[in-house]
Amino acid sequence: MATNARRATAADNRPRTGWRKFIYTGGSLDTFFIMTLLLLLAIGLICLFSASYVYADYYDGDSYFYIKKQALFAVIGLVAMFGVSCIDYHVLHKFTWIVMGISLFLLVLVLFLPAPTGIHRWINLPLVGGFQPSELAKFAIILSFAHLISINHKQMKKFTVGYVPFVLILGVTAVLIIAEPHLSGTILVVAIGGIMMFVGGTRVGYLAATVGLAVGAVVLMVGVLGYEADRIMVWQDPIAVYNSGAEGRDLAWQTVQSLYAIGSGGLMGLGLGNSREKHLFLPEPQNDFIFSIVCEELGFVGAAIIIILFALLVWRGIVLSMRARDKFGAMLAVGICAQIGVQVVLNIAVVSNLMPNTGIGLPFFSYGGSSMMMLLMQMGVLLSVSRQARNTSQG
Amino acid sequence: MANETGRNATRLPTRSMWRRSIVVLVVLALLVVLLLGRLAYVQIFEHDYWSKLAVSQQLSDTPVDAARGTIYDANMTVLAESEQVWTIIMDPSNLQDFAEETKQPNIAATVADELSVLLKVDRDRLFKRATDTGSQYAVIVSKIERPLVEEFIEWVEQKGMSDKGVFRIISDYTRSYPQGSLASTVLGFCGTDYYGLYGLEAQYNDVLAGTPGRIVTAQNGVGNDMSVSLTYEKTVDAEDGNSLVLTIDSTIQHYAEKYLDQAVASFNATNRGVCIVMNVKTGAILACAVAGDYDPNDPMTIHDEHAKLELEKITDKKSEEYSNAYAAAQALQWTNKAVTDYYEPGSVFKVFTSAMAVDAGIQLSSDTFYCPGYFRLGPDTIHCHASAHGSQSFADTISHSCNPAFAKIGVAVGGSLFYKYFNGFGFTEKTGVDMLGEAAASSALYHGQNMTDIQVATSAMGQTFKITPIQMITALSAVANGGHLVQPYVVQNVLDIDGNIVSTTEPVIKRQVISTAAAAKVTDMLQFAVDGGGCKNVYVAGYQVAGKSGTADYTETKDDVWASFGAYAPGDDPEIAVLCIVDQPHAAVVYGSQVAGPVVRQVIEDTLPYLGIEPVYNEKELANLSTSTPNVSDKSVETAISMIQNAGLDYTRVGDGSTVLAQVPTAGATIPKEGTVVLYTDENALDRTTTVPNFVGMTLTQASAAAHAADLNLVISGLSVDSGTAVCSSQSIGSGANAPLGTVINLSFVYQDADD
Repeated sequence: MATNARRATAADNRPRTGWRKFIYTGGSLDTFFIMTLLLLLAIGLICLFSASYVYADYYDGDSYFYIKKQALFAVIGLVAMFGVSCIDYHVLHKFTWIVMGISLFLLVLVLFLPAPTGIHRWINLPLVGGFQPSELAKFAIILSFAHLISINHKQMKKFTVGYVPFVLILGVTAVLIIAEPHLSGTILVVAIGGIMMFVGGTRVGYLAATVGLAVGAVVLMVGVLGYEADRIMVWQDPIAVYNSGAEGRDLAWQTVQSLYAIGSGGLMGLGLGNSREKHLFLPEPQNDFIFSIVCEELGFVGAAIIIILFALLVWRGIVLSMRARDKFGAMLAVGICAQIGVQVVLNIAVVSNLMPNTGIGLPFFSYGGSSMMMLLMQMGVLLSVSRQARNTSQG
Repeated sequence: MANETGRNATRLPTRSMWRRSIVVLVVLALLVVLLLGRLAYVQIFEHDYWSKLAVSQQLSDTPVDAARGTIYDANMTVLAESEQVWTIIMDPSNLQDFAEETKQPNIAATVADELSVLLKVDRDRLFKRATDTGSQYAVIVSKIERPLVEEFIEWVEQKGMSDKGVFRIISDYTRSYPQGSLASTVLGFCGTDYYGLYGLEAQYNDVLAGTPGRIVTAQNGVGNDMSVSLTYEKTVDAEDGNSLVLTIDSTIQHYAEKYLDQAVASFNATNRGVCIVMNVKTGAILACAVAGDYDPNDPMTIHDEHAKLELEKITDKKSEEYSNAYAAAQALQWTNKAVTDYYEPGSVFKVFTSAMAVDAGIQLSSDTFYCPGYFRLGPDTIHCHASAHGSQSFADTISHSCNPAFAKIGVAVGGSLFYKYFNGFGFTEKTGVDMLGEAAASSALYHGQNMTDIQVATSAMGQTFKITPIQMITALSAVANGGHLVQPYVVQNVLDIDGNIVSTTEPVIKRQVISTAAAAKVTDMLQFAVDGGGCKNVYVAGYQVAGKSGTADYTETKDDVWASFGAYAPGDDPEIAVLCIVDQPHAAVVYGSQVAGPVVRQVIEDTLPYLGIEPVYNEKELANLSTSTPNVSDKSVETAISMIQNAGLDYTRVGDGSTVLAQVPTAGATIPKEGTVVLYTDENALDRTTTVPNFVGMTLTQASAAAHAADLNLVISGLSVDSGTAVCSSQSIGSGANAPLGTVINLSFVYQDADD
């Protein structure tokens, strides 16, 4: 305790002037967290290559089309992660509303950009390619909530302080994302925000009431007004819809092919590289449904190992958050961990048809440059928090 | 330091945050357990279900057709065979990909130009299909043969399209029947998938079809073979079908069809006809002709002239009435009348009534055979077709086909014995012949065991019940072969693809129905009827034919009859039985002996010599026998005359030369004994001809006189030893034609006094 306190104090007392006051390279990076992360990243890249090469060869004429880009982004992302981990995360306090502003601006902007498919989800950037403002929105929510909780933590129980501002921010962001439309992005943002409010100290009663209202609204829209009826039908009995004709086949195609893949895997899987569903049956096997191919090739055992690795990563992240030297760091870490955890759970629930199909990627596995960059930079923020963490847990 | 710690302490995450984080972790942990449970359920518990569904889409299963076996006749003449052909299918979407890949935007036009020439298909249609890039399946040409396929493959290689999935070649088989309509209702035909639909093709489909093989390959989601990494292929070879060797002999079949068709046409029969030739000892069917059959190469077209006329009457060819009538006519021409249709045998059945009486040893008084022209049985009266036959012997009753006599014989036999023999001859069961569609024994008009006297009496005359033609010839064979009921069959051997015999049909004798002695006695009586009685129309010199005619009225329609004739030959050791039925003839005379008799006679006349059975002539027949003319050309007139006289022939000399310049008939021609050879000795006389008179309708005496007057020679058929009432029914050279002197003309005679 004493050593730890002295180290922290020493760090604080180091002369920090000019740009150097934004840099903190003291402390240590958490080995367990980094090893778990690197392991997941490596497995993710291998699986991406395996899942994507047939598709890439057929549609892009280059088996390495996706793995080349993804590996490049992983390397850049890792460098960025290390860089970010060296930044004193307290700097982020000052950028909170700038980040939020940019996020909202982009969320509005994307709605006005031409979208041939009718889905306003991507902004095309040079070099990076498709960038999703909702990726930034997730971080904007994490940052702004951590900021608000850290400065208002004593009044978090108050409705006007601990509830209203959060719900306003979350509401505006969610409405903009759902307008894209991007249902899974909305669910993710709301879930991350809700978890941060819960951990941050918002009254459970307010949250319960809000969740109750939300569930009621969903039940009303889906059950009574019949929104997303097709999606619900596919979810309830994918094979029946699949066999109901050409239209039903198209609707249920992705879900059914995913179940074919997962079911074919069995206990031990068909072996790495041996997926059959990736041979142009499962649409875009490198994207949201990559985990189906993982299940097919590596079986239940491989899938369980990967899920457990994610669980360990989240657990370690939460542990690190609680060792943070302040509430801002803790809440940043909680938010980042929540994002990983919720995204993994939702993704696997979708591919295994435990919930209706919504497009949601699997962190470190699914193909996507901007997602990979954002994720790894957020890992950097978490590591930055861990650099200044206390060595033992408080409780 | 304390302050520092205190300040830090207030900034630290609170206990509440810690606790709530634990709650979040616990919830996430529960969700992870849920996910693991779900995956375990799908991957382990439902593994078989999902992987089966997945495999069914991941593997492409292409059937490989087996070659269908050949059908041969008894002499290994091919009656039905399969030939391998190919179908070419194009994938226009892959053609477009190929065009983009190789930067040949006009490839579709090139393909259309060149392939339309190579494969002889319409260029514009091909171009239209080639440019329909939304499609993946377009049949370019089907049923092409090997050389063309090889040319096509070469063309595809030239164009560099071999591995591009643009074309697929599927092998297939076609069925062809090289003998055309010969025995078509026996053979049947195949549907478009080469599955036997009718006849032997259907009956022996499992034997002929073989077992199709299959090629199972892994395929990807767009239906192509795997291009990357995963390749899987498993081939199960097709097993070609076995072949059939029939008992049917094309030559005999041809005889039966030819004479049957002539009778059906000349007597204007409106409900087809049947002629069956059977080996009486084995039950092997040597011919089974059905008039109004079809060409199995083109089974959909109606071939029967009468059916075509009926269809012509329906003016609206698009009406439902027409299509129904057309379908009915098709169904009719496809059925094998010999086994599917019932008919009333009429007097032919008297053969069996006689056999019953003889075999059972029924004591028949001479009263039984006395015919006053009618027979009273209680309130019913049975009329004879003649005014009165008076006193007659048993043999006479058959020869006269006397109804009152047979009614009395039937009553004497009695219902239960009649029923026993009726069963015995197989009229209440299927014969078990291996031809498709044998009708079950008819019970429509048959009275069963508890027959009243009038029912036995009419049944004894062959009326009031119906049987199938195959039942009749099988029963007739039993009388012919000494009382043994055989099981008729048409497939002699089954051969494998190397020609080895897989199975062979052994003759099956079901039972002995009547004693050999009884059979011999009935045969004697039937020969008597043919030699000089009412059945003279099946007389064939040298072959001692036994037979009986029959004419049975349709009960439903007034003027319609079945005219039939059943006979067997030769002599006391018969080889073949022949049955001819002409259904609904429409002519001035429609008796079985006149309509069906000549068919039977001509078939026997042609078939027995073909089978190598030598004629055995009695003295009277020897006297009438034809002989062949010696070669007397270039000989001196004296030598020629003595040679001709030595051969038992007459001569006429034309001209005054001393050398024979030419002779008519030419050397080796068949002419009757005591016929005339015309010797030409003068150059100027060489082109002397005579006008052929009209012999039709003449008796033998009149015809001989006319022929003599015209210096023509006659060869006679259809006459028994006693020409009696027979008149000429046809002549080989038409009346009014000019023929060289001495020309041989064939005349066919039919007796007019035949009783049925």
